[in-house]
Amino acid sequence: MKGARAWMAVLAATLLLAPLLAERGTLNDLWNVAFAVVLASAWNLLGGFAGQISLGYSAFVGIGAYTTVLLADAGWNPWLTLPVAAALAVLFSVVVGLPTFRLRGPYFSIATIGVGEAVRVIASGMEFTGGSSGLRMPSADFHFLSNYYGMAVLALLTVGVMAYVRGQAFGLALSAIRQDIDAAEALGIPSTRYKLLAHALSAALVGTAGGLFAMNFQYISPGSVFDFRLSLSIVLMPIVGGIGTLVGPVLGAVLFSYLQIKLLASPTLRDSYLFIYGGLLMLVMLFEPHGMVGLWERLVQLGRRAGRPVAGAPRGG
Amino acid sequence: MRLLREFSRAVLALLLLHQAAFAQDVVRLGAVLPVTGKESKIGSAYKQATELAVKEVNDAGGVLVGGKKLKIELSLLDDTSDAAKSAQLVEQLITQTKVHAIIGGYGSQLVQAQSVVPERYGIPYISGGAGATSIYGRSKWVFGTLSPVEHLATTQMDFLQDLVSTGKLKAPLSIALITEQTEHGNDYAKGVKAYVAAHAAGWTIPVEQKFELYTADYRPLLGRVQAAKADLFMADAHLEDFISMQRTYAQMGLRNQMITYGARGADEKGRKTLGAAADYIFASGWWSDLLPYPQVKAFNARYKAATGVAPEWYHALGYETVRALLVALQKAGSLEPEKIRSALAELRLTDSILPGGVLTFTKTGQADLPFVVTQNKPGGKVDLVWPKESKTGEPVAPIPWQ
Repeated sequence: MKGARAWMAVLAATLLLAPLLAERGTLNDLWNVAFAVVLASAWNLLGGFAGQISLGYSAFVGIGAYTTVLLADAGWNPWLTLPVAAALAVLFSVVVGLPTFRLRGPYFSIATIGVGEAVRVIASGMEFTGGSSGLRMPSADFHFLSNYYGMAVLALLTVGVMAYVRGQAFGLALSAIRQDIDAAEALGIPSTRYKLLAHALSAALVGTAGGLFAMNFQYISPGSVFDFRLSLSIVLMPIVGGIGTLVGPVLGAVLFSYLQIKLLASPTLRDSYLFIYGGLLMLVMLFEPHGMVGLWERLVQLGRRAGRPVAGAPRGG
Repeated sequence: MRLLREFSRAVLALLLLHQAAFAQDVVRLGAVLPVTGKESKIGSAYKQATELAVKEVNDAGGVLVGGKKLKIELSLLDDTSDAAKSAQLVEQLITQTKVHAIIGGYGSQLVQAQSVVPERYGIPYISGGAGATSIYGRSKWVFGTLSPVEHLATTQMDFLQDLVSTGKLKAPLSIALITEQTEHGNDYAKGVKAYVAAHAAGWTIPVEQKFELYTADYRPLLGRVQAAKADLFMADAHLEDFISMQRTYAQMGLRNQMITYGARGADEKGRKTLGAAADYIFASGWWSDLLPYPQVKAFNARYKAATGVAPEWYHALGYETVRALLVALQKAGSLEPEKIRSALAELRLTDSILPGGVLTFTKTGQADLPFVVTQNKPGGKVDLVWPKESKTGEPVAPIPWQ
């Protein structure tokens, strides 16, 4: 836990101090990292802590983004749209969660794919969402720094909330649900209510991130915010980093978001980024199911055995 | 201490090298195209054309800027047909690669996403792959060589009206209007409906339907078209949707007097995939290799020799977009963004390969050139049938269904 705190302090310092030192290009990259941290960590609450693998999280990004653009187009201050974006994402999470949380294992995951795709198709066919063409934010002044700090603070808040939840009875109940849902219910844990709560909390965070996404890109379409590939990325980040841990989703998010844009920008590697991700995922699944955090812990153990302890390991992370 | 000194020297050397790289006498152009993903078929064609246009200029010694020939350094990135990545990569090219200008992508959604970025940094941006009018006029930095889709529809209606005037088709005519749920589709529908409203006596639209991009099954939609018994079938679709919809159209045995898919129909890929089912489809386009201009003939030969591919409209637009930017650069005589932008706004490319032969931009930054109409004929032949003065064959109307 001490190691995890150190890693989180590094993340906080990097995100908050970067505008003083880095140029705009680096800040854009860090904005992407912060966005990915929110998505991966928030998903980890339901997928990692409670073991409910949802493949429909892009729906929350989309709901948040569309809420912000539609309200901003109606004359709202974009910042005031964020609580509404979060509230609508929560509402949707409950509407979706009530029927789907009756399902278990792969049946739940398959149902969430269906929900995500249904939302995308509906958004593509509606006039008020701009159909497949999407919508643009009103052409008001764009303030990158405030948007940057908005996303950075949301990322830190998300990680903070996850750390807090993990140590509470709620977090322990989610862990019990993940380990054996029948045993958890036998012990008096209302599993459906806890799963709904976890779903709603993560949806609020992801919905807010969706609103900030719309503010940053100024243009959204169903193909970008309701995309199944986005849902897959949200799942892959915690898996690669270390599912169910605190630090894992953050590491996965840093690796996934930062490397993706860098690989795509590299003329020599741009065609191989999917191969690199696929390979990385296969390696994780086959050799280190606890992802990068698991790998780090193994290195620490090896270091200890060799009499050279590695400092700052994310133990308990 | 010695180690620290060595490290400092290395860092300093790297910094100097980095500065030197940006100080070189080159024109840095950035391009973000959908080379993989849903739009990859045409995105790859734009990539090929963009690279060829740059290579030709570099082979000739570079572009003349302020009396000095400068080589072009092209950074071409793949956005994987993802709008968010597309905008991020444009931003990356501007902030990290420090490009002097951006060549935009293909597809209205991707170009919409990209077109927000140039305004933030004040960098000229020109796209050859988006005709939706809503993209233009919002930023003085954004230019496009694709003429408005609405005018594409008007050209098709003029062509059909001419077929009525010459007695090939008999008025009044009813239209089944099928458009994709995008701004491209909306603009097309707007163009057709505006024409019909202005010529109410001759035309009606008994059925109008929208469809989502990359729809899996067109039978329900085409069932409604069949039930409407319209004379003409007018759709606006992307290449993949055109192929899929026309295949279903043929399987269901629909028979309209004329068929169009907007800009689609003459594409080699579509004709090869559909075979005889693509015969007699007419299409409006931003370009045709059949245009009778000497510069088009020269371009066709040059393109085929360099790539082994006979150019289609997207190759030509990709190529001409780069050429327009480079001519503007030359006229600007400087790499200053504002000067390049001004030169683009005032550009008059008089030897253009595009219809009309002269490329200029309107006040919104979008080109507004005439369209051509082609018609597929049996045996894989394509004829230019509009404008009349450039036609290579007679239009066949109505379709002689067997």
